[in-house]
Amino acid sequence: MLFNSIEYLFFLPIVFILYWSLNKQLKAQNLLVLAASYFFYGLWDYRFLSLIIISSFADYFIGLNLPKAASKQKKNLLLTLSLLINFGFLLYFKYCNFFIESFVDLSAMLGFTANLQTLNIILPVGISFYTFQTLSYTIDIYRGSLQPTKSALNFFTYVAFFPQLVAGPIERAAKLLPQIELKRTFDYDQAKDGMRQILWGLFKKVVIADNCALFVNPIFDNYQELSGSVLIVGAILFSFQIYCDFSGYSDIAIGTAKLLGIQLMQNFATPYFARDIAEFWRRWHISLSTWFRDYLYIPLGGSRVGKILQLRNIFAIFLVSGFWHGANWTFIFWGLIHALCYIPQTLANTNRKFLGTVAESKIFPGLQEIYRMIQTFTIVTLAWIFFRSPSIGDSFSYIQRIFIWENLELSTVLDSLRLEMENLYWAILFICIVLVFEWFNRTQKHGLEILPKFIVIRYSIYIALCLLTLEYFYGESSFIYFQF
Amino acid sequence: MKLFATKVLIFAGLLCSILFLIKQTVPYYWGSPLIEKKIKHIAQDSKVYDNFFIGSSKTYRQINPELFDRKTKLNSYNLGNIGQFYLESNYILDHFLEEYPIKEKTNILIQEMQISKIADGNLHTLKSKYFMDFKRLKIGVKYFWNKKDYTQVYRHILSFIENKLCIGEFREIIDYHLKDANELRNHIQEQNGFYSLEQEVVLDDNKDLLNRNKFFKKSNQYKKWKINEELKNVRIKKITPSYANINTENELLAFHQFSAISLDAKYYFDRGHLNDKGVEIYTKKLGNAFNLLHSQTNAQ
Repeated sequence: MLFNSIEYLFFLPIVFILYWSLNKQLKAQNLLVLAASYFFYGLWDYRFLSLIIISSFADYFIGLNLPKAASKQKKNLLLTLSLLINFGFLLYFKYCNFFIESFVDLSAMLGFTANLQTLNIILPVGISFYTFQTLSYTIDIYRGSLQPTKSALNFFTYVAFFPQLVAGPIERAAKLLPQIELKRTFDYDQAKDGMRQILWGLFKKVVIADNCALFVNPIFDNYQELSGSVLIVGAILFSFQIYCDFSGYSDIAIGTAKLLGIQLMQNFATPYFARDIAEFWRRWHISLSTWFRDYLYIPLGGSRVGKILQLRNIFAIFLVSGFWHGANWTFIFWGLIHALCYIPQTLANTNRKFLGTVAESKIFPGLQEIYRMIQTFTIVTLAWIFFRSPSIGDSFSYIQRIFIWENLELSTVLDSLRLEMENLYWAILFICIVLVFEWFNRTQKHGLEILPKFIVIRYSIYIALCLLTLEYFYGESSFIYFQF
Repeated sequence: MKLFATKVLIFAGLLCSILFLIKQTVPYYWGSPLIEKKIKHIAQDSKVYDNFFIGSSKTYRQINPELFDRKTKLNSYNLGNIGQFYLESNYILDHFLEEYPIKEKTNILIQEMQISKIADGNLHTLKSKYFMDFKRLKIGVKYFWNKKDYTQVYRHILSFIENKLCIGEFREIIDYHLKDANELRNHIQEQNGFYSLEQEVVLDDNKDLLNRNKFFKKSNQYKKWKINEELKNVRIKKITPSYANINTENELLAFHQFSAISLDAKYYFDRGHLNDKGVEIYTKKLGNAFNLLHSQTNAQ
């Protein structure tokens, strides 16, 4: 089931009503959430429910036994088992074909033919998210920073919690489990805010991301025949497509959880207003970057080691982060680009220069801030070209062609791609709307958190966003991040 | 919680009201430029037509009014359209009868069709829902409920709601009206709404259709073609307006339902449509059947 589907518009109110009608029975309430979560996931493919259930079973029992482990060796063994099961699933379903293809390519480069064929494997939706979520549970217990839950129901609900099951945010057990284990109270303001956040997320996903995709796909597919101006438009639109797609999804997930009285972590904090790459990574996919920081970067020594080892750690985190996004060298290269941009800041000790919000306590940014934001956005957009392209070669060709300016009118080129200028203007207008709303809510958790107090204006905004969302609701497209 | 739920319901109600109002302001949509042009052409034409064919491409591409009229001495017009199935045809016919005043005895020949399912890929498209008003919804829901096809019941209800609230329709309809509508092409005008596939290949240089024809002739289906014995002869029968699901008390209207025909493979352009030779045979047989029906009726 997708968030931007009619089925979800029916599913959510039903779950909401049943959920709060069971408020006096916590167990029944959690059971409902678990059943709803399995139903939500099972509608996509019920066979892969087995993976979530196996992963949940394994980590539940490992979690229970970790504190009881008599020796450090046994503890390590249990943790290794958890890592093997979860990474095993991930490696098989997501990366198996990548390794086979890479091996075949490498063999060809070395002059011999490897007769290996890729396997026909379906990538289970959300596998990269829920495996990381369960791993954080076992790792935290191993470290002694978390006590295991005795309730299998609560743990299974934590793993499968449907708002964030398929594309995050990746929640930590220390934050989400207590909320599942304790009675929830209906909070009117929280629920209202949840509805606003859902609306905002749907607007970004349906109106902006899907509209940008109409241009991005043919531009990237036909880049060899297009001039620089069109390719720049394509790259910028992709930046907004991926941002609105993924942050939109996160907003819907967080908003849905708020309706159920549960707080999920903020996953995006206006990353395109970042003034440098370090700030960008504090604002983009926060749940993933903090996961890598806590479970990879810090265990490797973090920034407490010498400069060379610190650089190694930074490379590791970005390369693995890139690899997490997809089984293709382009994602690894994308991670490498970010690592190369991040490292100079680390060396110069300026990676924590911008910890506050841009233009804090001001309405408009200064010229220098605007310059920094544009600079960061440009670097990020160039890196996105690698993320989007099918191969590294294509990415470099795309960038190379940006500097080829042919005397072609944009409208003529769009005509040749069967696209309309009018739709491009609309896409640009909607992007501007998002930027304006998110600018004025840049210190808040989402773009609709602070609105004019005058009720008519507020409700006019809600109605306008609803109308636009409903108008653009169809076609249903899978979220970009579902491939992870 | 109750306050929250109440406010949400009030907001939803307000939103639905606004959507409903938007739908009322949107100009009437004929669903297809071809049908709109045909109906406008009929309304402006000085010629008075006393027979209309309505149906899908099996009507549009396969019934030549001129040949039919030679047999029957009527003045026919072909209101067939590509992909126009039962409910849509019914809707078009209802609105056509409102637009085109019937002052003389007029025959309406409706292609025999099952109510088609709304396919997965077509759900939410304007073409599959613009005609889904309450009347069409009732027909569709009743039909599929009796067949225990609840997925189709759901899809029909969903299409109805989306149509009533103008969900995902507004831009497309406005766009349609803002674009200049060309006149009905001469060769369609001259043939009273009929346009065969073979003609389109020649006159419009339609390479896709040509490839379709070539592919069909090489296919196993062509080689193993079997004639459907039940459809060897065209069936035509008189039906009541209520049978045709048309609400009219106009006694000048005479409704009929006609069947398809099954011929040898050599008379087909592709697996679903006849070539020009097949059209000639079909139309003549239809004309004969019509004459026979009416001579029997007059005898009675």
